Amino acid sequence: MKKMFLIIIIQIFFLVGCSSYRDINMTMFSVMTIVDVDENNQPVVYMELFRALYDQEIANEKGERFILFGKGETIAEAISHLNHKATYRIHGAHNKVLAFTDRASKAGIDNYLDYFIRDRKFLLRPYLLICEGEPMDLLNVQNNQTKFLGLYFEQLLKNELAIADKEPKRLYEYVNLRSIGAKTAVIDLVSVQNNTIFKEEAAVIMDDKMVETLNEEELIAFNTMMSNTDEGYITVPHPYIKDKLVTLEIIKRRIKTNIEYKGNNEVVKLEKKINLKLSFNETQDQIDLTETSIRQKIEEEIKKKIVEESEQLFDKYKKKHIDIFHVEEVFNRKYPKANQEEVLNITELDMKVEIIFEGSPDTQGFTND
Amino acid sequence: MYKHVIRFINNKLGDNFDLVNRVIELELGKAYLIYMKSICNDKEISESIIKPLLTSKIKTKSTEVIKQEILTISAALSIEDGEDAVQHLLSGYVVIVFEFCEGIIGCDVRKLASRNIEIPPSEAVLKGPREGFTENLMINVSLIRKRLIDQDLKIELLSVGEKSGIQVALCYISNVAPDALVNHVKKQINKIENGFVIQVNYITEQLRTKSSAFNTVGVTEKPDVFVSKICEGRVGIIMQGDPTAITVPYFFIEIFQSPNDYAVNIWVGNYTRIVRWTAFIVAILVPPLYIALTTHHYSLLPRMLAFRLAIARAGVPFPTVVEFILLMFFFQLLREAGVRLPAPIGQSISIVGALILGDAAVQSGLASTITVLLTALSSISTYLIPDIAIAIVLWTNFLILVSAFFGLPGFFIGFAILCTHLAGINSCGYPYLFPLGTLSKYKTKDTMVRGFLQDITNSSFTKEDE
Repeated sequence: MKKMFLIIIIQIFFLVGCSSYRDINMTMFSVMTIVDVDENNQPVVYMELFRALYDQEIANEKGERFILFGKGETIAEAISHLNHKATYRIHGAHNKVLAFTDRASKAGIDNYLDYFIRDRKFLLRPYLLICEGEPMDLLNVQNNQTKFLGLYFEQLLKNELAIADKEPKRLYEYVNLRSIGAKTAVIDLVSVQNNTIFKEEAAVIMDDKMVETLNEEELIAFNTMMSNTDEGYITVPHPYIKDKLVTLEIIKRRIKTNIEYKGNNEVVKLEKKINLKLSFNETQDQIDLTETSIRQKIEEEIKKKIVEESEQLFDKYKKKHIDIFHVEEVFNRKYPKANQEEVLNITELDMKVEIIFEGSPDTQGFTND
Repeated sequence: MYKHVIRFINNKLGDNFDLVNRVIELELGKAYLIYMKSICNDKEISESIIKPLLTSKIKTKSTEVIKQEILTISAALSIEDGEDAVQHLLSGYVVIVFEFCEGIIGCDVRKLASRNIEIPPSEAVLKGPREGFTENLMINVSLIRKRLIDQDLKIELLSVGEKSGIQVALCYISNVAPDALVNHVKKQINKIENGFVIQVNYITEQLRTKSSAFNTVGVTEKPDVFVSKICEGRVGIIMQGDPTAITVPYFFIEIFQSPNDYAVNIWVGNYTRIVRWTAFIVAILVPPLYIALTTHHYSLLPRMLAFRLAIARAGVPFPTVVEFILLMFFFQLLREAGVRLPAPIGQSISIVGALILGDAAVQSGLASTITVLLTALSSISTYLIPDIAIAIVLWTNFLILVSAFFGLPGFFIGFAILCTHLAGINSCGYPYLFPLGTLSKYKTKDTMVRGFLQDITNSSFTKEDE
């Protein structure tokens, strides 16, 4: 027995070995990785890197940002090529963002994903983005908020008001989605205009290829249907004053999805029940919230807006046969033996919205005479 | 006979300046008083021996009658022969021989030099008893008896050292301390074959586990702590000439117990005890964990921390593990310098070492701030548990090495080896980790935290919980 334990312990030691010893300051950390493709459809990997330096001039230590890129026939080759330019070995443990250019996404990211899933130095945690345009344009944006673009995106994607809690945000979530249901995902899309980063649209990825783009309004409607986040705002017209608006803050949002199918190629009914807790946040003109009729009117406006926008978006993608709402996945989970293909085509959306108004921060403020 | 005894004593001890041969003329003949002036009470000799001998008209030729009817000394006994007389002389007795009668009388007039009862510097407390043991065995016994008025308290006198014959008192409560334990301790003490036994550590080494840096014998200079241990069924040992008393068995949890815990509010006491446990974990685990994470497993560090650590280490010429071991060694140098030097200078050395050397090491680029911080944190944590400070340093160095070579697997296996080691050692036959990790139903009301005093006062590690 003792021998057995000894052998197991020695084996564990050999599995790691002292060869993996590397001081933390003798390592370059990638913070953001962008995968692009060249004219030959071969991957080009851009990396934003962090490295600790000792500055002889100021006799002090500092962390510096470096941008390197590498080419190759595969991602592994490209990163190896990139390593040839780096002073220390590049480590992906703190790679916060994995981005694919729209070029690479349209060509299909399936060729480039495996390395990031398989390699033990890269984790499955990084946020996933699609970026429009040239990678260097994005990497060269002068961002005063943080020195590192990867950290900017990390913080941006953690900012609950800036994002919707929808999947996939991270690589491992996408890895799950690409293998189930209709293999469709909606990933945030960033673009650069006039040295400013915009993240208001989303890319629709189906079978690892970018097939469509959701504009800002569509993305809001999509998030309303799919995101469980407790943050956000809804703006509707003022109930009685024309051209004036009222904004309500989402305090709590819960979405229940149910699917009903009676068999024999009958209609599949996708029920989305959205429960919203809202608080009055802003009005552009006076409003008397003590009036039940006013509150009812606002409620109706909100329901109407959500239902209309959702149905519009659903119909659009139903016609395009792109299942961004994961209907097939929900269907397969509930009816695994149904053997029904093209589920989206026979699906009808049934939106139900329940609204509760909760304590306004200042009810008096709405009725000042 | 008397001439033979006097000659024998003078042959043996005649070279000593403090040997006094006093002759008294009595009616029936001469009486010879022999004693070592340096360890005897002159006044006692005059008042209780010489005066009665001179004033009483001795008609008897029996030493027994003289002992019982003439001498007013409280402790008088018969001495067998010259060899015995020498032993008693060296222990502070007056040896009396008579021209006119057979037999030798020994009178206890010891007056051993001793310091006053003081606060033990190594076990200072904020509240509670402050008396400490001295180098005088009798004073120490009196301090024990003052606190423990129990007819079952046994204080047996043993002699250790073939030549020095130093007195050792074995203290225990007869129906509380297990007989097997008492016999084991006696057996171990009797095994000591050294000619000279100078300090109690000779006995400690005989009783402790040889293969461990962790203490398996408890030491204290406080009689209240000593008594409390005895009350729990342990065996205590005090030695003439040494203020340190030892108690066995000594368990791992006792390292974290302090007399203060019982003298303050239970919640305050328990909080400070938890702080000590935390200090142990910090001291022994944080440095190797840091090494494993910063040299093998960057992904387990938060990004901000990883980058800061990398920046802090930029420009340091040594690998992290070498830097850490060097700094740990420097800290040990400082600690040793602080201990060896007189207190005022020792304090200065500590301050100079901590403030100036640490800062200079960082400024010169030989060490990173984070390594200095962690070394200091680990070392300061050991001060909370001084009993095992060096054991912690040794084990920390071992864990640092295995973590540097094998990363987290090395760290975990090293930690498992530490736990196995602690679980494997014993103190006088009792598992060292008692009651942690043992399936026994021993009372466990004073372990990680203490219970209310009324609940734990009658606890004994030998009795099963009811």
